[in-house]
Amino acid sequence: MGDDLFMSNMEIALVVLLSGLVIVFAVLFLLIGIVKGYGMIVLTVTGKREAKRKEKAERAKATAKAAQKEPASKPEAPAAVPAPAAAPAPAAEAVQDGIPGDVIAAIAAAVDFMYGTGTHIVAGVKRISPNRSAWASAGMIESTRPF
Amino acid sequence: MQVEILNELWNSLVTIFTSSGFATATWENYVMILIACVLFYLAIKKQFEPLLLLPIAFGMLLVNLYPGIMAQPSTEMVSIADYMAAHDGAMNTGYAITVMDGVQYYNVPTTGGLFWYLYQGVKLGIYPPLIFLGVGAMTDFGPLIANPKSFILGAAAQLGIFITFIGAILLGFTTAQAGSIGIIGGADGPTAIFVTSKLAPELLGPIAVAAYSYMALVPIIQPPIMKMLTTKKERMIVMTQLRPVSKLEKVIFPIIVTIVISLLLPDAASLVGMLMLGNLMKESGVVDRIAKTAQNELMNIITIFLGTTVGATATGTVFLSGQTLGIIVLGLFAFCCGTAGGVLMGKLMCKLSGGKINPLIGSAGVSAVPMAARVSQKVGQAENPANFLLMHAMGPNVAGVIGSAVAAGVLISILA
Repeated sequence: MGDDLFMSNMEIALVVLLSGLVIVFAVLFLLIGIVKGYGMIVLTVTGKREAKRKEKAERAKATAKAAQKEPASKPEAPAAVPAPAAAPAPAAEAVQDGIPGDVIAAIAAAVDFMYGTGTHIVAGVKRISPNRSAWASAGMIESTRPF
Repeated sequence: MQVEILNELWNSLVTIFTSSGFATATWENYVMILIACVLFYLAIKKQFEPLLLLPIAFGMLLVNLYPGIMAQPSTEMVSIADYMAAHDGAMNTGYAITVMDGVQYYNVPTTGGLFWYLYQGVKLGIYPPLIFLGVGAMTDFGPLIANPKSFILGAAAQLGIFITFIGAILLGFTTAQAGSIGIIGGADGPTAIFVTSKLAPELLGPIAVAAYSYMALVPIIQPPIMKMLTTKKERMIVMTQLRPVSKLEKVIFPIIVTIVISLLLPDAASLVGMLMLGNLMKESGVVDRIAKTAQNELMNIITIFLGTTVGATATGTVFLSGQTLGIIVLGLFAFCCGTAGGVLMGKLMCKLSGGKINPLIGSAGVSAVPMAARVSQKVGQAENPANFLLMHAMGPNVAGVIGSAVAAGVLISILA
């Protein structure tokens, strides 16, 4: 009698385990689909709206510029045409990957200080692409510190 | 005359002493008082979820000092003659009269203890949905909407509920009791209370105390499991920033989730419905006043009532039993399994995404909001100080709230 009860309880337990996991995953997968779906629709609609707004704004800008240019076109001297921006000065001591030599020297000195002379050779220095700027990182650290 | 006065004085002192805690308290009560003091230490000194632990510990302390505070109201039979003698001959027509052996008695109702009345909100399943209303009004589902895959982690972390269900059956609990014990693995106090009040009200006290205690102890329980199941390299993964979510998406989300879950699982409708109502109040921005009430005053009031009365269910004789010990151990097992389920699913998603997902956010799939997400952030930052997992972990964290409510609906619909 006791064994029968135990077996029937185990049967229920397996049914609950399987159906529970299947239903929870199915419902949440369904929600993933729905959230993704309406997210895409909202993004498309708002994107289109945004594009339209931008287009309109640009058109309005262009017409305003044209209207401004027309009366002023005659007296305008050729000198008023904006000159092409001056080419940027070549980076002074950009060595590997555009990292200045003094930065490499500082890194090499730090490695030397930490690991000892002659034991390590700096084979290369490359920039890691940070997710956010130093200021943004400082802000994040400040605001997540309480956690 | 003087002797009479002294006798009366002595009798009064004896009466006061015999009704005092010194004479009535048992050793179990003193053990519970000690446990309450440990909880005070954890709440005040260690600051482990003090909003929950402090009222729970105080309820525990008070009920073991004065059990009458949880006493049920009852009816006392007082003979009408005695009643009139005590009330200067006045009769009371408001009481029902019972006649026994030719003597007429008034059925005089006695009032219950303060906590008994407050406890009705727990017993009738009123407080949990109201807490969910406040949680919804405080929750930002943005990270979940930005990364809906978080739902998978929220689902995986419910693994503990169903595995523990089997464990509880093996230990001899009934199926309904096993369901209530398993739900502790969801790490969601209100959901655990809600399910237990429907399936096994006799276990409400130990289950509520276990669920809330484990929620408060998330920072201690989770990190070793997270570290054990992940490599240093995985813990150091920096996830890309989430996309911004528009207001329209945030407004649509609670409405859609309510419709879908209420249609599929009506038993989860009151929890999920209130959660989403609170969220809609917040996100719509048109009912700021009631949104603020839900997230502040209402939430705080219910937390006080819920915490103290849940603590008050832990009387020495009820709590210090083999059954409670079994519930506590199974609850811890459920909680650990849930955490492990989330982390393992996180690892799988990490592999499938080519190392773009940090598996630590998986542990936040247990729904202790926002504590579990904070733990992901802390463990991640311990490996890489420039890593900020908090917002990424909030996705699975809030998905876990929905996931545990869905699991609750499943358990109630199968076992009730």
